[in-house]
Amino acid sequence: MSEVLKQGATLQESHVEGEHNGHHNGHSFWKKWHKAESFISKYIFSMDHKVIAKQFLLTGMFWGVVGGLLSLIFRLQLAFPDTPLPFLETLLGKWAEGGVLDPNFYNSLITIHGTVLVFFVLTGGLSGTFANLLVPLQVGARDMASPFLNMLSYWTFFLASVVMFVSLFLPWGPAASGWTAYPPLSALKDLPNMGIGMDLWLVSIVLFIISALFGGLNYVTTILNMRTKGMTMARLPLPVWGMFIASVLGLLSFPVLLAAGVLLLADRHLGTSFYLSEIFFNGQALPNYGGSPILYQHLFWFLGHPEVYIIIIPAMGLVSEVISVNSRKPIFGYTAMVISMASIMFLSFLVWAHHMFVSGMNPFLGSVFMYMTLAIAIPSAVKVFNWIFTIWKGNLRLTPAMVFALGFVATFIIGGLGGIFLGNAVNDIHLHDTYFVVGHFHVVMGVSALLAMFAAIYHWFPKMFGRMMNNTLGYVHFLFTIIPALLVFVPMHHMGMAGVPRRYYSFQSFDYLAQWQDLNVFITIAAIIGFSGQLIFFFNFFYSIFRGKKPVSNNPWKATTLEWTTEEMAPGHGNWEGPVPTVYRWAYEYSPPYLKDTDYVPQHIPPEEVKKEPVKISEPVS
Amino acid sequence: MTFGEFMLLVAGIFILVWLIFSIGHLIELNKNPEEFSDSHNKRTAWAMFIIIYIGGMLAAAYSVWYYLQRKLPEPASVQGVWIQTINDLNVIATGIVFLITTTMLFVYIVKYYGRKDRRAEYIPGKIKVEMAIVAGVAIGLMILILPSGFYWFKIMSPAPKDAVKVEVTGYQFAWIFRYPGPDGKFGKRDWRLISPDNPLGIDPNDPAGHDDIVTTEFKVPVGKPIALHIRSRDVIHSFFMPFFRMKMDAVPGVPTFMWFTPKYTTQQMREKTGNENFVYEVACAELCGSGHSSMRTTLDVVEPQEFEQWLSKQTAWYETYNKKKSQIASSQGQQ
Repeated sequence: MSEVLKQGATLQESHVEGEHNGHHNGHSFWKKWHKAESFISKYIFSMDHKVIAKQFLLTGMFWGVVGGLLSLIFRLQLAFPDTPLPFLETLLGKWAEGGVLDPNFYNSLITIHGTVLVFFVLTGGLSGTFANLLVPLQVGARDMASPFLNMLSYWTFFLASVVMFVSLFLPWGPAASGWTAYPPLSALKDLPNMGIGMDLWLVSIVLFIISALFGGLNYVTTILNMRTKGMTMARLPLPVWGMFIASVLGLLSFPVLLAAGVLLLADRHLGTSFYLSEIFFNGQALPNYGGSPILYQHLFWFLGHPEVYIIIIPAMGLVSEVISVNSRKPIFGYTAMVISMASIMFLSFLVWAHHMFVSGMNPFLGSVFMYMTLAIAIPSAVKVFNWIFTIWKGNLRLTPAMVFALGFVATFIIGGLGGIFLGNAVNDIHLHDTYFVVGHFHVVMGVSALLAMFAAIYHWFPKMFGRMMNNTLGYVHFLFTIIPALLVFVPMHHMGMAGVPRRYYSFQSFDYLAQWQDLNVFITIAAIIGFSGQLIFFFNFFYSIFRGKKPVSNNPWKATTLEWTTEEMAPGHGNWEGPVPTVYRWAYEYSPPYLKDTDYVPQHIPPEEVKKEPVKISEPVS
Repeated sequence: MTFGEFMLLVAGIFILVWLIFSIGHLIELNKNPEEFSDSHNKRTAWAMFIIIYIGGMLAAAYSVWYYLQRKLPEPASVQGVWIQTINDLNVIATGIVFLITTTMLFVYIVKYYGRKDRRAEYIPGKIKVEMAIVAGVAIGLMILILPSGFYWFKIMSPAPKDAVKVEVTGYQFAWIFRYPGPDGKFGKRDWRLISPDNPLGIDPNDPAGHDDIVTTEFKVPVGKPIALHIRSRDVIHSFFMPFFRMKMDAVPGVPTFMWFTPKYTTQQMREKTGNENFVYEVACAELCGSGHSSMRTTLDVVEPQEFEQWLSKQTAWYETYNKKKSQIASSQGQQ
């Protein structure tokens, strides 16, 4: 490791010595490309990590709207199964003839909603945006290790988006297999909505994985090799640690899903039997023999479970930073935070089969996966208590970002505790594939991760666009996000305990489900309000890009980390006009007792410039 | 609520948001977005405490009350009681942790909101605190894990030898049941033999299958262990019996098993719930296509004598199959 550190330091020094775009030395083609700085090279095929971050963010926001709208359509179906809604026919054409939603299209809606939210919004939109924005700026690099690969990562993601988007408009319907795409349902291409839509879905996922691998390689390389002088691993801000750990996790687990997807494509088109055996379908016996659908589930969840940590670990890092800055207090237990993130990463490789407790798996395996899963509660609890102890005896500046970050902690507690129910194999026999699961994962990786993403957007918006977002709108947005979200997803836990199965087109076929119809209407109303609340955010976001207030200083939140040391608020390519700053201390020197005038010491201030004066603090109010 | 009223409500709320937003926007016009005054922090902290914490707790309490009106009746199987016990244990344990952590979070927010005249304390962390968290959570988890592991192996153990065997086969979008008949053995199956007359693909040449009973009715005796052999003909289904708290996937090509002991007959459950039309409903819990939400069947739990009577009245699958085969053969012969 120390070798790597030294190397990183020398690399950085050469950057400091070099010209503005130091990293392009020796790549004359790209040098010329950059000199040209046309609209296309600056905003579209840009290699500047900050522009790529914005591209990821805008694409993520686009998919957030699409995914949200899809969910509103199926929520309307669940709330009003008897009432034909003629506007649906206007909107969806043959998928809602006479205003009655087609059950196959309902399955397509839940499939695409899940897929785009998990992959495009919470993976691409969240870590794609903030890893790109923050990794070079916080480690003190002028750009990623490979700006070209970075650009390629975005455009592969874009291609994946296009393929997915096209699949929505096919006359044969988008994929309807659920986001998990379990074969044989996803392998039988003669089923309705399982034709070319499913193929495009698989192609899109394969492209997305390639994009995630390009991105992940870049983040890991940049963090290991491109840190500025003095920036040891132990001084990294927690968002960078989060991105690093999540990238390693992604690099090790995403390829497995790629393999699963390719094998599934082979089963669909090449007549192989990886996942198929003894199937009688469409009035005839299929020749496939000897495959196992369970194999797919193992491969899928080997990514599928780490995937939720690929989403939540960067979110945890971002939230840690926002909470510490706005509590004016060092993060409680920095080392414990890093160790717990690393142990969550390690454990997340050993828990995947807790999604398969009732798949007929060997009960002994089930017990091992139960113990491993419940063990994740330990590092998660460490993190939650560390956030709580960070605000303890702090001096909380309740910015919109801070309010969202605290909301993250609150929802993460609810979601994490729900996980204890599902991780328990015995309890999972009843709760598996019920609304409890839907409520749980929406709270923990949907709502929590979205709240963390909003916290990060409000916090780093000035870094991206050089202007501030409106605070009042931020608070209103917060209320119209967290309240509807909890109203939607907390009652779902109760529905699950009452045995309501998930992915049901309607509750009308079962006597014991009919009593939940009222709640379905309520949840749909809350969902519509929650979605409408996001319009406040969109208005604030786009309005502030052009008309937001300019920050008074270059460090509006009085933070210690390097991204706030650039000469310009929203720096150009290369980040620092002068030399890259050197780092002298960790990232959380807030309110140290030796300071008088200010309450923080940025990482780049040399120790001799810090005015050390013992101060008397006025009695803390308690 | 009708749909029109509902849309009116949504529109009303939307207008309200718009109003709040416009007023707030005007107030903030001349403010420096980086400044957060003491009174601002205080207002925000208390707003969070009242709206999110107090309001959230009240809403959660209402949600629990609403659930208690609609929850499933007590588990109708011995295994279901164990599962319910673990569930209740989880409710208590996570409930306590939830109350403690959430209260800490929101109390600290109102206690330590930012003021200009005070400073945060410089506390980079305490290793003893971290160790205490790890130890505390580990001990709490052990209390949950020990009974869970114990019950898990009991539920997943092989069925007792005297169990009543029933084979369940899922297909798009219904369930078929097979009883092994007097010999207690299921005939061999091959998916290539499936036809309208032979929906399970039972091998007609296997004598063990000749007395098998194939039916869409699912009846079991009360108080006896029931061993389910679960299979699927096409895609993955999941045999979910919510009233028994039991569930097992039906996977094509991979037979799965589950056993349970019913505690109450359907009649007893009708008396318990006060619902004359009560039936044990069985649902599909794994997305299997367009008919997933209507893949319903029912389970009738009866007294053992009644079960034996019912079983003896059923005709063996092979008889009907053979009759049809010979009819076809004779009709072909006549031509």
